[in-house]
Amino acid sequence: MSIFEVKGLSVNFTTINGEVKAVNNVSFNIAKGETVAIVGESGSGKSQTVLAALGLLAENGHATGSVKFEGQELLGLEIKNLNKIRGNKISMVFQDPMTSLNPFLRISDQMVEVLTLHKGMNKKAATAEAIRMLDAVRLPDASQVITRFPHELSGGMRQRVMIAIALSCEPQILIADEPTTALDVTVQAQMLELFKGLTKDFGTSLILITHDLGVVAGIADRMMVMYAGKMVEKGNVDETFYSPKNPYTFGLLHSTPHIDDPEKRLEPIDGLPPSLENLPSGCAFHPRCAYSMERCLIEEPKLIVEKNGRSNACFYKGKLGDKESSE
Amino acid sequence: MSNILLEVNDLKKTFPISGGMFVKKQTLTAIEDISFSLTKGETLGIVGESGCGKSTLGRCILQLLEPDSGQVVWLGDDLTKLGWRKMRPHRKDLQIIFQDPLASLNPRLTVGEIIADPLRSLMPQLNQAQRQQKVLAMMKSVGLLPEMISRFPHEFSGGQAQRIGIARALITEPKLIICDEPVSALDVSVQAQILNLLRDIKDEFGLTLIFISHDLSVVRHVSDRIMVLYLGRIAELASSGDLYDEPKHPYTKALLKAVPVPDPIKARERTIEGLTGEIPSPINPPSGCTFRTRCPMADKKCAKERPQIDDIGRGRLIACHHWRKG
Repeated sequence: MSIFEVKGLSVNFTTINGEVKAVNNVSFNIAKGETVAIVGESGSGKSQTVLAALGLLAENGHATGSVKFEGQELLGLEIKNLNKIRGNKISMVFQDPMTSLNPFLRISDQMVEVLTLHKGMNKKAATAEAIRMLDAVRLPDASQVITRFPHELSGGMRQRVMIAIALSCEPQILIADEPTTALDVTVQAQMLELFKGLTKDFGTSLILITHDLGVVAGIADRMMVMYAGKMVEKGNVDETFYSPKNPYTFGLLHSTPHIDDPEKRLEPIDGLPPSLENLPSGCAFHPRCAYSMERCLIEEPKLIVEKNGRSNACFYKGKLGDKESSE
Repeated sequence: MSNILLEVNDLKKTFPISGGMFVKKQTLTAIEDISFSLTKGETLGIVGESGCGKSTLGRCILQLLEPDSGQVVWLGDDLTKLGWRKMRPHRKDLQIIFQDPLASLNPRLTVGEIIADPLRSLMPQLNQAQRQQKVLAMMKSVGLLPEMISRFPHEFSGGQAQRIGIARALITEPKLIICDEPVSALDVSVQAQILNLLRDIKDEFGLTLIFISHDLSVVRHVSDRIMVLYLGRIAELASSGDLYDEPKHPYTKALLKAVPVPDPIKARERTIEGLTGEIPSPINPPSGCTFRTRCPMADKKCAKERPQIDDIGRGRLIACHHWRKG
């Protein structure tokens, strides 16, 4: 049973250089309690996909397609009604914990606001609830910390506060956009454990946006790989990691250094990610792809559902990785 | 025996933090008690979390920052005693690659001018044509096309800009390059290209590298030896294999456990008994062993006494009272 359904979502931005397609016909479903990772490099459209779903696009952006939460269409929904859902049933944690808190307000004010607005609590009850939430995300000295200003807290503490705010209305879906990228590795490990606990204890669905395949491997059930605004591969984490079908996914996995296997020479993807203003014809990945054929230059491969709920958008049907070894 | 290029002895650097009218002046100790030597041809990785002093150490070696005390002995000369003028002849041997590739390139100069700049100041004997020739050869070595020579930095992506930075560092034929988080700002697919390039140029030019990074997987991939810093001090220094296969310092152990592995089955098998808490402020570090506030093995002795840096054989250094217990 999916509680979140995205169908044919496209996002366009009007810029001085014309229309830019940041997200191109993306579809996916999220079931209750599952963790899904959206993986991609900068400019792949992974953040814009979820921002569009929550009506948070920049002014020059517009979304088409359909985003349904529990059957209700979110795209084009009035702000008033949308606000009943976002921050309440769907909430979001952003990458930079330094800039997503208001520097002029105490932590207590920022947390109480959410609770009074969405849950109609009075200030006293809301404060008690806020402290309970900070305890839940294992922030030490919650009753002390809540009286402080954001600048008095460390990066990890701020990210915990952000997560506590996002969770305070017991959302059904938590969207986390690169939530650990700005954190040190020991603190990142703490955060990932925290996320794992949430999905297990509260049945929250987690959409995790990240470029870090190590993070994906440790936490996600399914993953979706995006390139130049399109979804190129979708599947459960184990199968996608151990037998990737799309050459881009294959390339990403072989570009990532493994701490256990330092002698292995990395096999980077040639070339650079394309500019969205000037996408290659056909399959946007073809100039960097070791398997590209004539057809890839002309025709755009569609995301085709294969068995076990896996999908792949690529014309090449042979085995990946053989090319190098046979040469 | 004269394989030792660089020797660092008891290096220390503090920064003053100016107080206000009612606030006491304080000092921040960025690095302290840092001693190590570097053999020709090796790559030393320096890892640690933010604020551990890894970048400060790199800059102190190059005399871009003036250390408070200690020595940086480069081929027999103590660089800290030389002063700017006498330091100059050494600059062509010691180069640096920075983290943010675009910010470290002058936006008003063309790629050719940027790469040739160190030649102009450090090898003034070369004429225009010789410089041009060297620049083109270097651009080829780092994977830049010759027609890019007259373009400006803003026309390049992060990965290509980093290639320009590498070419600029290599052009004076240095002996040592300090790479300060050279791939942290790059996308994964491009990061791998730059890591491979660094490996290749190291072999091609017979370089010695100091590779500073917060990413333990990346450091493991490139380094022969690794130094782990915590709040400005050496926690552990060992060969790459020893450190990863058999970490001895509790901080190294915790760091290695916290690194996410891009392998779902291995990732699930791991138990992350991660560290609690965060790095304390370097302005007011804990007494005794600075790691004790987060250490599972800490006891009273750790609060009172700062652990000595012990040489436990095979060039392995460790600073912990209790490493034998673990």
